Amino acid sequence: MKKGADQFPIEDHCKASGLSVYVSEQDARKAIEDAARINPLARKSVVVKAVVDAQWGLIAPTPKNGNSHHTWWVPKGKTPGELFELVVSV
Amino acid sequence: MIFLHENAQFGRLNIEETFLYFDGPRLFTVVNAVGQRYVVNCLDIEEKEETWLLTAVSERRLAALKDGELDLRTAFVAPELDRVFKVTASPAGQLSHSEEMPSSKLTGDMLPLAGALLPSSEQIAAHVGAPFLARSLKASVVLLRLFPKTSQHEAPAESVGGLLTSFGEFLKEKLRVAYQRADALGGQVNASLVPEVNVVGAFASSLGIEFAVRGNEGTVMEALRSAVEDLASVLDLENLEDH
Repeated sequence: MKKGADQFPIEDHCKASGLSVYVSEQDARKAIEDAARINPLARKSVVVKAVVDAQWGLIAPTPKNGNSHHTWWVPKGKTPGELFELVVSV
Repeated sequence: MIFLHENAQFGRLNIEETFLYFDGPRLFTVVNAVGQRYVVNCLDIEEKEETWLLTAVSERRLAALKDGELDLRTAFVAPELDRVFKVTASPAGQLSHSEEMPSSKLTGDMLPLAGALLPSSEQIAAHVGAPFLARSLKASVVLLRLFPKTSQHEAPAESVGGLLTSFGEFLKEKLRVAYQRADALGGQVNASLVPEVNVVGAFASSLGIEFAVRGNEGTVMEALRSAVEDLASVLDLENLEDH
């Protein structure tokens, strides 16, 4: 379980244990921009993109306010960092 | 969830409410065993060390932050205790260093942008209704804080006294009507009883009201429940919270 996931209600533990990703680059950029207004760490974030298939685990749509937010459960032992390429610094 | 394990400076700090979560809580409130509360914002995360900025907040200031009356940056640049704390800790929550900083030493890269407001909590707040309160407290005194749905501006000081007095009278009348209704139905409440209503204060768009009621507990609480429901309806209240 990811750090902090246990503070959510038990029915949300599954979602809180995944990684947040966006299908739309625009949504990813907006999420970072919104977070960066209030949080210094978010200002260090960048948008990266990758194409994943079944060997990289499962994703499910978990929209926030109707956006393209998905939750991605990465299999143990996989390192998603190797998949991604930088799109742009926000 | 523990933010910081027991330490000499802050005690043990538990995360109370999270406002920004990405790969872990990033902006949240923490509280220790004696009720000291801080707003915590994440500055940096490295493999073995995390850096955070803490500002102590009173209940009143936290309410102002949540209501959007106060921007988040102000909570750090004008802290109520005249200082903020920059702490480093292990990812497991062991405090490794704490530095007390005057707000004048804070730089822009450590702060929220000017005007940025505290976002809504990531947790869904449990709705606490007046009937639930009346049932669960089983008490003859209920103290409520009332939160309107939209941001409100505080009234000029000279108007507040008159407003609160009028509001107290309004509530008393509501209770009196509820008493009469209960009296007519079951005869367990003496309709001639004068309910006591005390409006005990107002701040940051919220209001504290103390109801002192006498008589058969169950029936009186039913009358109080009915009055509070009427009140919630009239005021278009979003939330009722007990203290």
